[in-house]
Amino acid sequence: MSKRNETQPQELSNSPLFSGWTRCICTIGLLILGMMALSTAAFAGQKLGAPKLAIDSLGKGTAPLDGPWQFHLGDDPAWASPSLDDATGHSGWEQLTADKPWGTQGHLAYAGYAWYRRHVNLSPATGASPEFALLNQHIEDVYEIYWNGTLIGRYGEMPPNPSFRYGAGAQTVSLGQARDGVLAIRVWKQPLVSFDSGEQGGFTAPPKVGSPEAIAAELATSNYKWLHARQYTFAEAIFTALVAILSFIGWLRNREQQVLLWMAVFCGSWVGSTVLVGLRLPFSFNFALGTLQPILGLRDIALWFLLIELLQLKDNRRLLRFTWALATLTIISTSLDGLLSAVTMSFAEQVADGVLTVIFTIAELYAPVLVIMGLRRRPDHARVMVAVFAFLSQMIFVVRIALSQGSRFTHWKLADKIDLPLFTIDGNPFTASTVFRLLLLLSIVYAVFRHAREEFRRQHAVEQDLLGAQELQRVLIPDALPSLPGFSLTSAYRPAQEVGGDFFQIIPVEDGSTGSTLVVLGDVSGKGLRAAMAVSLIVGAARTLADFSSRPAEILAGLNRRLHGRLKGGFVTCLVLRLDSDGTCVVANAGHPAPFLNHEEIASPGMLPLGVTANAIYEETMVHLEPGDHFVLYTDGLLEARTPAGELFGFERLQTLFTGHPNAEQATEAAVNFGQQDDITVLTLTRLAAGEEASTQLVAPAA
Amino acid sequence: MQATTKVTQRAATADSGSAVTILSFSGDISSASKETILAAYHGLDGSVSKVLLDFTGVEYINSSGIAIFIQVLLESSKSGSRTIAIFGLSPHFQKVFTMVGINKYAALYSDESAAKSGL
Repeated sequence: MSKRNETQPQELSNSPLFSGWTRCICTIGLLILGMMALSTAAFAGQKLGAPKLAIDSLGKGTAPLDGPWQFHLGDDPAWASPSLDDATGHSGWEQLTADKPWGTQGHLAYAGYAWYRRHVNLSPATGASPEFALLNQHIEDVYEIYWNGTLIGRYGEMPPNPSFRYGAGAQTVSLGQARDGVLAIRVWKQPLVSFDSGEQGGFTAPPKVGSPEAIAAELATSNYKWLHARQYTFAEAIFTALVAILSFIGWLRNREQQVLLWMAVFCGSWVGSTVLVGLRLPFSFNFALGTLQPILGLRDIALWFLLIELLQLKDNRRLLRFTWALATLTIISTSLDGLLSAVTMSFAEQVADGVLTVIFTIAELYAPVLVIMGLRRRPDHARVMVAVFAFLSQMIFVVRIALSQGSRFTHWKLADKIDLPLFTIDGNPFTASTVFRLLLLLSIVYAVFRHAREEFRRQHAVEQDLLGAQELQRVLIPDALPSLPGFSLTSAYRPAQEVGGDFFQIIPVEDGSTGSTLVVLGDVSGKGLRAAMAVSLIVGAARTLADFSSRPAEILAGLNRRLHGRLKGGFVTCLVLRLDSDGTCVVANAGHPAPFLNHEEIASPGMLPLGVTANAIYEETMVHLEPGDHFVLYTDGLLEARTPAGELFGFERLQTLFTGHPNAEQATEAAVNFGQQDDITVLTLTRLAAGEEASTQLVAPAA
Repeated sequence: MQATTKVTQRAATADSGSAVTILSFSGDISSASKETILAAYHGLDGSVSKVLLDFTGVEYINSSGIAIFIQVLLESSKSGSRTIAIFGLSPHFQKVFTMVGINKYAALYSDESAAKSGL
């Protein structure tokens, strides 16, 4: 318990010496004099300074040092002195209360030094601690406390190298066995940033005085209340961090799921901002604010790409290019703005801060634009939820930020109203921003989960398709070569990443002639399972046709009839040749690159590929291979290998390559090293001299 | 590889004095170019009787790209009312176009002036 009184000017008292009229007249006169004396005394009291605050018999409780404090803008070490005449009106001293900042008490947007002074008289209750301590809830931004001219405590660092924590809690300072004296507080407020309303500076709540134990208990209670009111913030941060970690791991496992990467960045930056400014960690104000800007910029960028992924806007290349450009601009402007926060800003820097803030505040409107574009595509319910909550959450953010910019000039208060809690749960305030932010997070988690599941299924189906096509391709390419009497045969097949449509078959002719072999080699235009299915059809048809004819032109015509109308705009280039053991080679060609005999292409008339016209007739060309002649068949994957710069392997390089009589594997390797784009198939036939033993060499990918 | 085909259309006059429409292609041509190319060709006025396909700006044509032009040329050949010629192909693709028999349906010229005088 304590007894508080503020010392009043002396009062005049009545005298028993007077009576009757005289007494009455004297009384009236004295009353008039008394009133004059009182008004004079009151005037004198004003001139003398603030009333002394006496706190008597302070026991286990605490008492606020509220009421009027003497206040002066500027800085002078002499103002710590107890003997200073700080009377209101004298040398610029005035009175302010300690329950609200100086920005709301006639000093809007003032930043810099100021002093508060208060004459107090303290006396402990009987049996209570003789010592006192002081509890300051928050004084913006840094301060020093003097008791009777002696520095007894400080918070933060004063200029020239000012430093203080972001969102610091209450601080205490020991007053020792203080009794009667002047408490002087020297305060420095750093220059305003673009969103400051100007209604800040100095006290936000009156300091409290009490025994060291009582003040320690008050501090503990204050800290507990702070912790209690942030249960939701902590829970949200932990949940968001978990989502960020899981998304990142998910992305590491499947880099194509970019939505998971953006999700990780979005949640990660969210947690980052909470850690920086929401947990009272010992970060300096300027570091926290400076780092917060690019983190918030990153959060915005992640939200844009999440919306682009989830609202299926990814196929719009111009939109993607614009988004990357805007993302770059945002990162640059927020980083520069962050760097500005790290210094004590001059006026020019404050203007730059304002301009940069305008840039990234306008960029904040991009998310709502993406939402509107996405909604026009009629997304499913999960994506609609993301769109709606992203729109609302971002619009609230934009309105809040936009209205708070320059609010010290506009005096708009709506931004403050938006920050008021809609409701509280167990002391945890929930503002409109908190609610929509949570709804946005939950809807994104739900939509990303669905999106990832759809993508996984789609990718699985594509992989299965690819595996099926590869498997089919392997089955259709021979895994062993028959021996060709009189020839050394080599083959190589090198599939590209995407399954193409190369094929070749070596079919011994069984028409009673000895040593004749049919070679069928070609390429289906197109890729994937469709190409592999066409190859399957061709291989089956070629083998059947070979049972009835050994004439290459007839086999091609038969294949063309079977393929016509079945290739859906595609075609098949194909070479069929019959090789006799005496070196005679008959070739028919349907649009395929002509074979090379040594380093020259054989003359082969240009013909439409298979499957294009119904009744094509093909011509045959005959060549004779002499011992030592090198005959090469290949597909366009060899001819049209390309460097990353787009340079083609081409006919000239091919001619040079074949001059060296490479085997199939060597030729293939040359094209792969140049830049493989498509399947490559090469077949070489070398006529052997009499007595040489026929040989085969096959290079095929492992099954 | 992502196709980046662009088609532009312009009017010209052959040396013989007849009107010619030139479709100029640029970029790579593959199966992904099919819609762009067919839309440009089918978008030609029915009265256009002479068409030049300009490949000067084309860097690469794969087999699926060639299939698109075979389709266009067969269509025109069936209708019998339109003459198509080609110019601007690199020597490599002139050879490839000849190999697949395209030259039986459209004359191949080295450049625009040769095409205009030949048409």
